[in-house]
Amino acid sequence: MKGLIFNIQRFSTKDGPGIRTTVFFKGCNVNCAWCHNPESIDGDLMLRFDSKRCINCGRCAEVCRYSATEMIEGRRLYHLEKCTLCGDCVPACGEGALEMVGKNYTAEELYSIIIKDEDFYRESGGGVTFSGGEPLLQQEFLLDMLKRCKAAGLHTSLDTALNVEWSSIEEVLPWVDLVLLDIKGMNSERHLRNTGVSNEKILENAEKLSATGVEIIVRMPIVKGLNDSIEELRAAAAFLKDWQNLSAVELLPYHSLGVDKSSEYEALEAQKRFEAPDSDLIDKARELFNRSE
Amino acid sequence: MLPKHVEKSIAKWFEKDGEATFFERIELQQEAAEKYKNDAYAPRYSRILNHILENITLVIKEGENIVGDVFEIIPNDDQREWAESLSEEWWEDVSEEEKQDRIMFYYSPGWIKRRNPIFFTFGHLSYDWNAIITKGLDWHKEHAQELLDSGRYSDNKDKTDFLSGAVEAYDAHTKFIRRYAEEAENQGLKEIAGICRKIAGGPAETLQEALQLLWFIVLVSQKVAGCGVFCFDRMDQYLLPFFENDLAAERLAEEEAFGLIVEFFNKNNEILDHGDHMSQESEVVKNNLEVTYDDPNYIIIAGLLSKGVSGVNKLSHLMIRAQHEMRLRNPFVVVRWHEGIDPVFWREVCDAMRHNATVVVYNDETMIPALLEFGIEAEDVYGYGYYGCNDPLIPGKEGGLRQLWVNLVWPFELALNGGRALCAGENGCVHDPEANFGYRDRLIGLMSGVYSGDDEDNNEPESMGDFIKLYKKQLRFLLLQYMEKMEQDYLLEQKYSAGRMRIEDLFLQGTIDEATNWIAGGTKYHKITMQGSGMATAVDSLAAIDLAVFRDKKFTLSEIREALKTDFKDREDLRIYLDSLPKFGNDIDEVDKYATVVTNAFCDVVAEMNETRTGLYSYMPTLSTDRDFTGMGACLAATSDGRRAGEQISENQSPYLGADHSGVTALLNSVAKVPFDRITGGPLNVMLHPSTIDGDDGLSKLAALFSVFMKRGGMQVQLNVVGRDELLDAQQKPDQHKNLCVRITGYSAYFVQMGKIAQEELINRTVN
Repeated sequence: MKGLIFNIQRFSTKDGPGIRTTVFFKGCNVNCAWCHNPESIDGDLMLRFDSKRCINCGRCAEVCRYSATEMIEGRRLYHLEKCTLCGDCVPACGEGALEMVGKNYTAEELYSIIIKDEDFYRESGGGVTFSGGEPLLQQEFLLDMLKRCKAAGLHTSLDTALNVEWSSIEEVLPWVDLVLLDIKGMNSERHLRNTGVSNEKILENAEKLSATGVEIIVRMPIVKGLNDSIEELRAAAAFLKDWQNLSAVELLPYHSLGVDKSSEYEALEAQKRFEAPDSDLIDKARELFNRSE
Repeated sequence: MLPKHVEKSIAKWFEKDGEATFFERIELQQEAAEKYKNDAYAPRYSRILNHILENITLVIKEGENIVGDVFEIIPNDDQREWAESLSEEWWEDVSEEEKQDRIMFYYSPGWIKRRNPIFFTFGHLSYDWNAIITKGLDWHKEHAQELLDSGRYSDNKDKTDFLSGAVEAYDAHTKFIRRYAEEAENQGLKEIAGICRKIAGGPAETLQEALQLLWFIVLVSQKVAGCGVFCFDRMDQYLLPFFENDLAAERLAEEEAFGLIVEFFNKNNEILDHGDHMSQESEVVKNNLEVTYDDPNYIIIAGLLSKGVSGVNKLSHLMIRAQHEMRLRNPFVVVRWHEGIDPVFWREVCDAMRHNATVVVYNDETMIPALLEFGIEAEDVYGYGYYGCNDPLIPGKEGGLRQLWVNLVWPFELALNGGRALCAGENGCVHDPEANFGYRDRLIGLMSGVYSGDDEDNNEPESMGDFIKLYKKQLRFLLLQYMEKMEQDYLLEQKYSAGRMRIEDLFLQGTIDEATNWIAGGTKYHKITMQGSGMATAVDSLAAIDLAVFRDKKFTLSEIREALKTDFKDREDLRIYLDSLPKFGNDIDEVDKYATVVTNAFCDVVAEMNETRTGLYSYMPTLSTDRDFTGMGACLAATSDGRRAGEQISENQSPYLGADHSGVTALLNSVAKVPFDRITGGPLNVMLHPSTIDGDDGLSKLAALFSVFMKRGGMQVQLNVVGRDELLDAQQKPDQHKNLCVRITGYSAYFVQMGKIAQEELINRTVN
């Protein structure tokens, strides 16, 4: 069994305590309009193309066996429908314009990378974070990884949106020290509009999660006009009010990184650009959550 | 909080006119050189010094507790022209042989142009500061006088001249300090007048007296005699008794001590010029008429006193705090890390570093074994320090900078091509080993041209083991050639420099006792720092041969050789393939193991040189390039890591530009695999984005990050916390970023004062 991973970030300092390695799983079933990792949603390999680096040398077209890339009037033209994601064009590019996003790792391979920074985790009280995408969509692989990491005594975090069956969550929890729980909004209708899925299952799982006693940090992306109404935030504060093991609520104001990223994938539609919420709203919201703690 | 007058002085320094010059020095020096031209060398030296010190303007600024500054003017065109003509007279209108007679080593024409040949020194050393403040100038003078009177050297005129010169030079210092005492008295500054009178001849008793005496010595050496780039040795150690006595006698509060330290640090910065001395193309550097550039003085703090005994004390804390609050380019504080270092102190160090204070860390746990291997005696080893840029020394016991930038990529090229440079033939290079290390390369200590290797019995290697043997063979060939020629040079230098006292000979151990300058053997240690350059390029190139030729058998050695000869002409496919192979800096063992191969090959040869040398000098290996990685790369053909001909080689201990992309822990893990217990210096520049280590939590992460790096055997680390956006913005709006201070290699610079090339180099290395 292999896991499809799209990034491994070492010296990750924002995904749980201490120095961490964050492993980003590829594939997600919540399609947030503002996603800052739009390449993580699709659960398959993808070809990334950075047009700024391309010098139209034609080397990628030369090596392509499927005519998915050809040179038309001196410029690279890519046919998504013909591409088999064989990856031959990637090493042919000397400019680093092409990259295969997503790589299949065996648990052993992935673990061997994670464990290289063990000294740093121990010295800093850090560990490993499984993020995504949605790691729980590759539950079996995730469970294997969690068990390996716990066997080595590493602190483990799981970054999830909880849009999966509860049984699947329950099964991995014994090997999770901290859950980074993404909540994208309390209003079901708006949630559906913003992310393509409604939030009933998510909130139900969240309630159950809070009852298990596992440490939780809630993270809420805030996007102007989409989920930044004060009612929405009040509802969230009320929802979290009685959670015993909630150690923090982190508000993540929107940034437009995903827009640029989405433009680098022919397989992706261009992402719409949103706005960050007003800073006084963020201050107000912080106050709201502080009071509820 | 910094004292008001210091804040004012810092603000004023940023506004300082780049043309401001301590012009009196040049005029008085010329006057005196003429007046005493018929005197013997050493007395003449001291009389010139005395003439300057008797006549220069005294400067005491409002609010100062530590006084002593020089008077500057903006030279007019005539003055500038006259000063420029002196440089020509001294250095341009003379033959190389004559230059050799005057001085043996210089580091570039830019370095020597403002230096009068009789009044010559390069600094880059540490005085015996403790002896200066605990014994005083009178003791030093009497010691020289006694030796002179004893008749021990009466049959050697060079030596008696040397000693009588020294006596006059100490006297010149004393009289100069007395002038300040009078000036202070006239201005109604009774306390300062009293201090100056006391330390003009006698030892210091209080912290303020000690710092004041140190400052006068530095002012004279650095601004008048041109002996700068000091190492101040372990300042938190030798100043501690003064500080503790003051506290015990209740004549000083800790906060006042902090104020004095801040003033002393600021004095060091105040006398420097704007501009980055490694940007020789920049206008500020070109127009400079000073003997003091922007080179920093190093202060060593913390570290072990002996096995298991930490030197961290109250002054170490105060000095880190001063660096943190001041964030000046100068002085340059080296913190010596060791196992079990006080965690509170370590946090303070990391906090200063993440705010871009000029603080770097060295590891006692690797340095001490390395220094022991390369000739430092056990009784001296715990006292080690550094001067700029990142050269190790034993303070007080050796003279100034001697170095060779060893291009570690050259032996790779020679190994690949049977001992001949790859560009030979087509580009018209001649294969002539005898031409290696020409006079100029030896003088400036840089392998700046095309080199030839040993072309005998270089059979085509059949395994990676064979190839490594060839690499070592070529490296050995080059360095033994260097040693042979240098030893001849030094014999000549010693002959020429008999009796030629330099300012530093006054304050080193051994020179007065032997009545011999350090060049001719007065001090205990003499070493040449062998600065191994381009390690990562050599490592990546060797790993590529291993992977492409011997492991995967994708290409033959001769195929690669032919492609490199033509700089990958029509073989872009091969270049792209080589470029895509794993690189040093990503924590990949199959590549990183070559860091051990290259470092050990280098250290083995240096160790062999120390065993077989016949000259005065021993050799110490470091991994360092300073900013010369572009120049050294320009001489080389393409390499099997995918680097094109003439492109830069890797800088210092760093991976090749842009080759590390697995995060900073991976970078540090790779670097820590270098066997640093054999390497005696050289920097590692680490870049972090401010957002990754912000807040208290971020500080803990940084402290853990560097502490693990040291525990894993890293040797040195220095940090720039800056985003690419900020650097680009600073290029556009320099006025808004005047105090953006960045670490370059062995020194810091204000980004907006750096030359365009240096700015671009830094931006290229900065992610985000």
